[in-house]
Amino acid sequence: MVTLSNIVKRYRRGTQDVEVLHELNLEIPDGQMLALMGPSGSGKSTLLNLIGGLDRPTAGSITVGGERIDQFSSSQLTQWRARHVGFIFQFYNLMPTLTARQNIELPLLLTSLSKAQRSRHVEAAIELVGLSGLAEHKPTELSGGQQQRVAIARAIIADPTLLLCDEPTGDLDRNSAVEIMNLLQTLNREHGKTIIIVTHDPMAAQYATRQLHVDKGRLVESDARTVA
Amino acid sequence: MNYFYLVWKGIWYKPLRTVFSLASIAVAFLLFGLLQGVNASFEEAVDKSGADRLYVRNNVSDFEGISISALSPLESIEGITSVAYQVLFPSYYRQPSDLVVAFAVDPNRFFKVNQDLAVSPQALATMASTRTGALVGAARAQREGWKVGDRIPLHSTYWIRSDGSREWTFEIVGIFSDKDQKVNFLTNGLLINYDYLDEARAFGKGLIGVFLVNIADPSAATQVARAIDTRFANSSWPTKTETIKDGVATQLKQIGDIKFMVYAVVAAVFFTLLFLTGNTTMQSVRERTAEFAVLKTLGFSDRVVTSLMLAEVLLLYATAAVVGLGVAALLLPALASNFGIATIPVSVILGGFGIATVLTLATGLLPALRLQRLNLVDALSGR
Repeated sequence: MVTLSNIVKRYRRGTQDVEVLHELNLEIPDGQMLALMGPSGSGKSTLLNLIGGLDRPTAGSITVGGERIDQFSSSQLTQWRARHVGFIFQFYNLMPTLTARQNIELPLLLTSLSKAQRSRHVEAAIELVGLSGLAEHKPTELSGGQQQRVAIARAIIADPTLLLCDEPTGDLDRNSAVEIMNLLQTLNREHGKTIIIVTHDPMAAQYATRQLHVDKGRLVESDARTVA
Repeated sequence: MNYFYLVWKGIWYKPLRTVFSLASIAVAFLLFGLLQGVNASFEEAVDKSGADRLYVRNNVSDFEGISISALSPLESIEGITSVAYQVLFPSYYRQPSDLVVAFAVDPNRFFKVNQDLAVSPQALATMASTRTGALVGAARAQREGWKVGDRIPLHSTYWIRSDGSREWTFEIVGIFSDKDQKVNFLTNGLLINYDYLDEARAFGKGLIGVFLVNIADPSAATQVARAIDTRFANSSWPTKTETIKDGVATQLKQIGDIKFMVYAVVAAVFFTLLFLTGNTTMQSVRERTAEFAVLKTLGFSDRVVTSLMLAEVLLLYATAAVVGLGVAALLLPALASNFGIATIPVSVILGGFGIATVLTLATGLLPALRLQRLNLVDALSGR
């Protein structure tokens, strides 16, 4: 369960403080696939970054799996992310000098798994995202959809409970976007991952079990009822 | 895959830039290796010259010489155990660039004074009975492929024969070496009979260059030196006597403060390198900010990410140091005839890697701070 209570986030821009999120409350049950939609600058990516421990709220509390992550130190947050969160970005953010297999293996360097165990995990992830035969290719040798599959495999390799996706189909053509969303849906339905997707794409949002709109720092349910 | 692999891959992010960086750093270490090697050879020359040996030369200059008739009075001075003498025979073999430093000596006296050199009694005996004989240093013999029985022509750049010729031919009768197997100017050179040179040369007859004197008590070196100079003060050849250690040091001083020059050149090179590689590293970190941010997002701690970056810089410097010092180690034997040292001392190698470590820290400091302060949200969004 992810719980956000009275979240306020302000940024300093020049001499002014800009409040991006206003007293925001949200509960995301385990196993939910949530789509966060909204116009640019509405605060949806900021919300995702707060849930993922990449940023800290100005006020309010964030509890994930019973842990108050807003009270964690920087190093505690880093360790927490490694154990519990998988990130998927719009532009994949893969290491260009590593092969697909090595990119996927990257998070496992932080674990105590042996080389053989890591190799088995990587093979399973490659199989799951449908990249067999492309594992030794570097990112520049792969299409956008294939790169995003590598990014998804990297995100799930350490078996996190939470997958955070920032515009996962934003750089893909329609067919690739459908494939990626099908894959995320499979991870949600068959592997029980809690998935939060920030997207502009209504097609992608349709895959979610719940849709929320972020508008000027406030949450609105898809039936237009203001949540907080 | 492991952390080292990550570091290795990071280095090759921009292969061409890495190659140029490696080359420039390697050249700096090559320069360091060669100059420090030369420096070490001079230091060794000074250290190896014992305080129990005195160097007696003409008070005016080495070129003036001293009469060989001074030998007997010299040997009679209290505290002196043995005396040898030598005349420098500067020459080249085949072509002017192939310099040969030879000394005309009384072989028996020479090896009695130079106890750190080894020669067979048979070779000494043959030398005594062969007027044009020559004893060749082991390093020179190996380099030229010379062996006993070979006749070698030398062109002297100083000594002229009575017939006006500068061509001298010697027959190799034996090979001598350093007891510690070290290469120095002696084992890279040649010994010839003084009697032959004196008889055949057109000028300077009866003169020697310097006397080498062994004394019984090294602590009495100053008193013995003073006694020698006093004994010859009013002669035709007033002397200046000092320990060989002082003599070598004085000679080195005459060609400038080599150590200072070496340190100055090396310091300037590395100081310039610091800015060059510092800028390159900063540029590389800037270009790869998103990559480092991804590592942190995945759960790599600040310490690990900073260590990876520093390890890249260290690996770059260490690889360049190995290449540069390795090439220097290969080149030094070829320069041994000039500098008298064939290997880079361990202290220079350790010093090289010490410099690599210091440069790594100095170069990596600013990029490391940048990575520590990295704002993940901004970095991931490309801001």
